[in-house]
Amino acid sequence: MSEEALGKLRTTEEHMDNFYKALAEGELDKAGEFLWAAVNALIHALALARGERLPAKHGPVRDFVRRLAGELEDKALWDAFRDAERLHANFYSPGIFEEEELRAMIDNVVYGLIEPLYELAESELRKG
Amino acid sequence: MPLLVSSPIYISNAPPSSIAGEACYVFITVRSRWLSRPYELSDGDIISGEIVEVHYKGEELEGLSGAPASFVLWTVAGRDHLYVHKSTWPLLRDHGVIYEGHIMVVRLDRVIRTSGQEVQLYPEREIKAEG
Repeated sequence: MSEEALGKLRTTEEHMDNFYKALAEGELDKAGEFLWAAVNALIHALALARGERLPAKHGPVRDFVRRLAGELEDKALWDAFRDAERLHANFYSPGIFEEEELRAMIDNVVYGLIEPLYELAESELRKG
Repeated sequence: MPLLVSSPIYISNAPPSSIAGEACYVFITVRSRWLSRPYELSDGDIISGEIVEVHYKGEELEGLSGAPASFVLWTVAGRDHLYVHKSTWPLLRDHGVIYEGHIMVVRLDRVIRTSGQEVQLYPEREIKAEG
C-alpha cells in the first residue's frame, strides 16, 4: 500500500500547486476548493500508509479524521477539518463567508490539517 | 552565488502563531527541495538576502531593487513558506506590495538558524528556483 500512499501524496502536492496558483490570484473560493481536494487526497494517503483503504466517499473520510483526532487527542485537527468542509461548501455557494473569514479558514486548514497530516504520512511511510 | 527565487506574493490572515513575533502576514514560497531540505532548516529560521525586483502586471516597481530582505521560514507539505520579516515589511508595505498579483524575485544568500548558527546558501553556485 505504500506505493499507493506515495501516489496519493503526489496527488496532494498537485492539488496544493493549484491551491497556491489560485491563492496568488486572490481567487479564494477556488483556492479553498483545491485545498479541500488536497485534504481528501492526503487523508487517503495517510490511511493507506497506516494500512487502511478508505472508500472514496465523504463519510469514511470524515470518520477517519474524527478517529485520528481522538487518537492523537488533538481537537484542533477536527476543527481544521470542519473548516475544510466549510471551504468546500463555500465553493458551491460563494458568498457564505467574508474574505477575512475565508483567509482565516484557509490558514487553519493549511497549518492545522495539511501540515500535521503530511508530516504524519511521511513518518508512517518512513517506518515502512 | 546564492539561491535566486521568483515567486508570487501570497496573503495569509496571519502567520503561524509561533513566528508571529517576527513575521508579517505576506509570504512567498519555494519548494523545500531547494532550501529547507538540503540545508536541513527548521521552522523559524531567518533567511536573508536582497530583493532583485518586484513587478506587478509586468511592470517593475522602482526603489526596491537591491534592498536587503529577510524572511521567516515555515514549511508545509514540501513547500517552504517565506514570511516577510517585520524588519523588511515597512519597505514593501510603503511600496504597496500588499495585495495579490505582485511577483517578487529575491537573491537569498544566508540563513540564521534558531540556534544562532549562520549558514551560507549555495556559496559555490547560483541556483534558480520558482515559487
